Amino acid sequence: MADIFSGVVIVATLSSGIRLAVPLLLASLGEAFGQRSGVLNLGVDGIMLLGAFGGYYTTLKTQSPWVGLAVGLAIGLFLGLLSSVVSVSLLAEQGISGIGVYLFGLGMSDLLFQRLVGTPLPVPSFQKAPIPLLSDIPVVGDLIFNHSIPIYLAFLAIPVCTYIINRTRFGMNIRAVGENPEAADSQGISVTRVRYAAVTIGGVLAGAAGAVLAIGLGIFQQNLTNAQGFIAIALVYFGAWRPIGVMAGSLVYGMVSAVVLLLKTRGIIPLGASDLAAMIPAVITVLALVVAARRFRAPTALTKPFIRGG
Amino acid sequence: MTQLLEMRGIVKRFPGVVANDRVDFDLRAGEVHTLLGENGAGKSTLMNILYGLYQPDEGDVLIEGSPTPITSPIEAINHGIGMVHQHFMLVPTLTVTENVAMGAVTSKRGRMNLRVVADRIRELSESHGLAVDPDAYIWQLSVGERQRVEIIRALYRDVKLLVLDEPTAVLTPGEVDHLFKILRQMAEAGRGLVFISHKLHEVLALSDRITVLRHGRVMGEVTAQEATRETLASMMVGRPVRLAPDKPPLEPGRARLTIRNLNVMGDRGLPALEDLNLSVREGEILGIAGVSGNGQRELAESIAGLRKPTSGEVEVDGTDITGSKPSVVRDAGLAYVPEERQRDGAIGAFSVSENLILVNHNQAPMSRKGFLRNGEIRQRSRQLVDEFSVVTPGLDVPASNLSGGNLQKLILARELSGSPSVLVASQPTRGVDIGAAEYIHDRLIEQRGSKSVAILLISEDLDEVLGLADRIAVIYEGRIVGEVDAEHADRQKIGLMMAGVSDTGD
Amino acid sequence: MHIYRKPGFARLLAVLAVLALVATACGEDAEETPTTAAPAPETTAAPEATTDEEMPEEEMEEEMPMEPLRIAVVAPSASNDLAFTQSIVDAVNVIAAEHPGTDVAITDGTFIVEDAAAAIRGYAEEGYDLVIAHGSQYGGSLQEIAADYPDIAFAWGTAADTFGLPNVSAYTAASDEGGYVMGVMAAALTDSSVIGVVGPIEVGDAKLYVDGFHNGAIANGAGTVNINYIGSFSDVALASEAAQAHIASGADVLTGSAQMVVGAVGVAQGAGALWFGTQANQTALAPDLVVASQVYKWEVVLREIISDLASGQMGGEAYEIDLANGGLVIEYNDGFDLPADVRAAADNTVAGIIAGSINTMEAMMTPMEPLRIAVVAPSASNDLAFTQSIVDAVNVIVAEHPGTEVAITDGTFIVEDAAAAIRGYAEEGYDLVIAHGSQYGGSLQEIAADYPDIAFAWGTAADTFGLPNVSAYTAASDEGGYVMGVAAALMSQSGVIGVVGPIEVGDAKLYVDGFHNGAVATRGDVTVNINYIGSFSDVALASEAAQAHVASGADVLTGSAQMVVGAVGVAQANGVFWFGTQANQTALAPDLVVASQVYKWEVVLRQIIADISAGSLGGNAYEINLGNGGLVLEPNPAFDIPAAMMEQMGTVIQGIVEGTIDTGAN
Repeated sequence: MADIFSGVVIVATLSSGIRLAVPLLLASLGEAFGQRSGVLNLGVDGIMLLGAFGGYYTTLKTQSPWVGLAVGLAIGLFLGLLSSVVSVSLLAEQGISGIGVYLFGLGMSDLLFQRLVGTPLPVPSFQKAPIPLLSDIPVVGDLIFNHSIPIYLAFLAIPVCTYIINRTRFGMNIRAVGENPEAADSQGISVTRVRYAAVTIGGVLAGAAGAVLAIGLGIFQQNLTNAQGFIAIALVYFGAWRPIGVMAGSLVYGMVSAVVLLLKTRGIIPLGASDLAAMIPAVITVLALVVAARRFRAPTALTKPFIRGG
Repeated sequence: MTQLLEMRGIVKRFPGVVANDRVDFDLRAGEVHTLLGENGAGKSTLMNILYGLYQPDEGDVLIEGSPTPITSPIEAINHGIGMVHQHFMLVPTLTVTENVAMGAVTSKRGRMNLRVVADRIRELSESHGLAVDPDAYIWQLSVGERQRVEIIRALYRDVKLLVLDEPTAVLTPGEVDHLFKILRQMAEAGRGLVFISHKLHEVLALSDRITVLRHGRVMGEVTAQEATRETLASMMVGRPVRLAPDKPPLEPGRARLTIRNLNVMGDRGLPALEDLNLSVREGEILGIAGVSGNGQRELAESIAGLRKPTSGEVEVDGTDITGSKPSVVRDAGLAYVPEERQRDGAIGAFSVSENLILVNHNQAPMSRKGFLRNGEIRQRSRQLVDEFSVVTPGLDVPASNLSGGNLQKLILARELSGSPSVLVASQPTRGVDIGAAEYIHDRLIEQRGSKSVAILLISEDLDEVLGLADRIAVIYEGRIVGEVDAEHADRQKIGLMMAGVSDTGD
Repeated sequence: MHIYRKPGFARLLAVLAVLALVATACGEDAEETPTTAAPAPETTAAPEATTDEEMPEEEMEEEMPMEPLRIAVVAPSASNDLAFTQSIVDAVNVIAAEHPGTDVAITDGTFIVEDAAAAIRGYAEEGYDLVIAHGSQYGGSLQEIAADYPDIAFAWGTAADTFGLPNVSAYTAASDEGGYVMGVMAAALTDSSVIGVVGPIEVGDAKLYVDGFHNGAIANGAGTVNINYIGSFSDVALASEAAQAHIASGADVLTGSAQMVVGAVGVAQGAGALWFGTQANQTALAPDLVVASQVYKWEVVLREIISDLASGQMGGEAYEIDLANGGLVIEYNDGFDLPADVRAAADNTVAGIIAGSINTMEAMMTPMEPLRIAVVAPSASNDLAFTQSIVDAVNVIVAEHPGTEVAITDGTFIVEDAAAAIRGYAEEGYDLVIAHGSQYGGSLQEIAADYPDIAFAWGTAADTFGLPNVSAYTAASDEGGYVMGVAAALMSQSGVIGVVGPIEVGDAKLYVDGFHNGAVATRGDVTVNINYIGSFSDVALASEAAQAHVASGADVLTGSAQMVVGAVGVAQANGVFWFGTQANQTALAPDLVVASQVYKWEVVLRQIIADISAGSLGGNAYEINLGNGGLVLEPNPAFDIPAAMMEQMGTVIQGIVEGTIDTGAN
């Protein structure tokens, strides 16, 4: 059996961590947009599930994971818009309406799956796309530069999101609207439009997270996300509403999960303790992020619908 | 002079109240036109209509002669209208530069060139003497500094018409003078300014014309030349008003509040108070004068137990309460009227009676064995509301429904009901109407007369300090730079000390 | 699916959900449309009769000499379906041959009743002398139409009712008679003592045949006759699958009634199972394996109807074909070597039926009230694992006990939801409520105590809480696990085997332990890495656990519980062998699944149901294992298991069943 510290095992374990992290990363990046604008979307998991099913089903029918991913994004876009209508225009209680979206996604994805597919059949996944030259670097090359394209894109999304939030007018508007919508409104920023855009971006990324998860696994099953959408929401809080924070959280979560799996596989975590060990990723992630992010606080207007003069 | 603005027959109704009742108002280029009135008289409503935040039920708005319905702030901005709101429209987590850039067009295609904006801010702050760090976050700034950001934002936008809602409430006399200079400059440059205030001598000093509102109606329009403080005050209140409290002679007892070598850090992690020493005796009012942001907030918070000092001692009635929890400080005999009354002084969503028992709800007779006793609470609340003339529709309405003056009276009622030995009152009449201010001042004088309470009055309103305090300590950059007897106080000299020019020594 | 009730917004969502449901339903309709259109009703004229047989004597009354008859037939399936429709078409052709000049029109394929009604009305309008509505489902339409055309003679089959109309004849087949004869032969020919029957809907002619067959078989010593009414006269694919299910359940003799069985005959042919046909001679469909067919000779009744017509009687009679009047004939397949004693028994049976000494309706199973069974299970019904195993089993029970009503709530991985469902079924008075999940124990204990008159079953568990109305059932999955562990050890090149488990409890633990012990006992140098991921539902984590095994050098993997679907994919992607359990997982990795241990919970369900019919609502704990046929190892037919290995597995199975091998799990 390969030595636990051999390059192959380390690379395999960390790659595993990256794969586990990516759906969380995409979903929590998206959720960060919505929350920065003051909208808490608890429906992420529902959007992920429908994105996952849509992506899986399309891939099953077209045999193209890319078409599947595109459909996952489109479903996310639609559900993001729907969520915006409910929480921004209809001023719904965000804690409740998000659960509605979640239950809708959970039930609908299962129903469609039962009706349209039935027995879970494997679908083609994304091909690995090693980056020339860079992927030849020992260990590091395999670890960082030998993944499928959606994984690269997910990590590329971090600086892009950071830039959008911190350096663009749109991002500044999001932050302004999430902190003090009255002030933003008084300066001529449409609170409604900004929140729609932010929540819809969140939907698209949640849809992408679901599609990447399902197509990456090459399979669908009822409740495929296993509540990852809720972990993503928690990561947004613990990641202090910053893309880099949610990346750190997602990676810690994914990596710790992968290492725990390896340790169990090798019997280093004894069988008797394996159920307890299943909690380690969540515990370590929460601890790490609480320590790192304790200086930050939530956007002031988070969960508060905006009515002018109200 | 060109007619910039004309508002004709404006009517605005809110459920149960007519906020503006056929109000006419006009503004010419190059003038300062003041809207004067008590809180709730309808000044802010009228200006919010102008700014597109409210729609009038009746009446017309004409900009430069042509009827212009303004349905949103964007349109107001596009018509060159700017507004400095009483509650600042700033995003605390954004920088000064970002707040100034917000909503204004600074670049194409979504990218922002914030460096250009920051440079322009430096330019404006230099040319107008409005010192502010473009890279600072708003949450790090004092109220006075925040106002400068608002004015810089208006200058940055190069507005034609600027509305300032109670802008002097947070400034020192020197700053007020400075602000007025800037405002006059802006007027001379051809802008029209609407100045909303209830401070009579400021109104007289700055305005060209004054329109007085009461209960949503125009009580009259006068020029500054023909008006006096007394005539304006009686127009506002609808009865003759006594403008300065009568104060019996000082009979101080023993020291009840003692502060020794206090050092405190501010929010930015920099020293906010350095080796500060103070002592207040019972039967005495010590006034802290100073420009906003010089450590007043930190001082009040360190006494109230809301901020931990790094070193030094605070003693309330002989008990060392340095770094203690607020509840401990209260038990030692402190009463505290905080600066941010909406944020720190009351819980807006709680009812009037709940707010009245907030600090002593766990004591008999308000509760027994952990259960609140509603009968006792109501009786007690009713008594306090009557005693302190809190105007409220009922004991069960949320405190957030009360006007600033009535909320302050409520807080004062609660704080004084526990027979304190020390009262710290921070900006007790800021944003409060004349009638309520008069009442609060009388109450403070009354407490002084009881000879059992030491009163620390922290105020950025120099008139208030001069009118109430027995001794005046001037705070500058976290230190007491001078202390004078009120009787021998010289407004000019105090003004200089507030600006850090100390020639008196201590 | 659950309907969740939430205030406000959720209500909007519910509406959306309903809309989407409708959309889904429409989508399905759209898909079905082409199928509807394909076998469009055709009207074909029968070939001109060119026989030189003698003309029948025409009896004349005051009518003119009998004009050559014009006969129309409307039938639901294709004229050459080797079954129901072909039987009438053949008969009409015989009549046409007997009466040259007879004009015959046939509209076949009208399985949509409205289409048939239009055709019947059309023929009546055109003045056909006799319009034959060949389908019991046409009764309602015929009743209306016949009343509108009192001068036209109609015949309706298979039915015994003429609606009291003077112009309607009814005809039916005593197909239970032939069915009984076939049942006798089937009982004699089966080796496994399991016989499978595929039926359409439990009505009319088909029901008669099935009942007769069943009774004949049981009366002659057949052990089990599994009957599966698929709910359709036309779903060939479903009928094939039903036949597959019979084969999988051990049947080696099959029969079936109605036109959709053509696929089922093919399945019999493919599996080498014997077939008995009915309605038409089905030998052509499986020339080696069709033993005999009961053939309908409707011409027997048509002759009588025509003679009625000739005598001026338009209808009002009900006719029947049976063995005695030659309307039913047993046609043997000459290509099948039927033992002489079986043939003799069949002939004796025919004689007995004709003589009235054999009653085809006897030997029915002790009539039992149709049971109402409810299942509550944590994952999806088609999860290829835990939940599917119980759903499949309940379906087997339904096939065995026609009329059984089944309700399934799946996906209740939240225990509170499951508890609500269990309580709901108990409240509705179901006879047996199955709580299929060890995690439901706590809730079940409370609920079962509240409903002492309802029988509950809890699995996988061995504890009945001492309650008299709770049965427990469990699987000795360590047995199959042990056998597959042996196989895995033999197959592994690297000597490293990976196991993905959910939580270290119950059934999953048994399987994993058995697998481990089997592998280690076979090869001392093998390493079995076991990874319990801590979840029954985290597909992604199970998938990564499999990756970790592969990275650690494993070349054979296995795993238990429903979240392993992702792990099987990893095996497939890495070219690593997979052993499945709980259900046949071959579909997930067609090249690399070696074998699956499949649960046949019907074995325990049969016992529980027998308890209930005997008046005992519970109290017993049951187990499925290799010995009682409740656990079955299903090899992947596409995977070439070496013969030596197969043999060794056989030896191990035998050892376990006989008790000479201890799986070491408990």
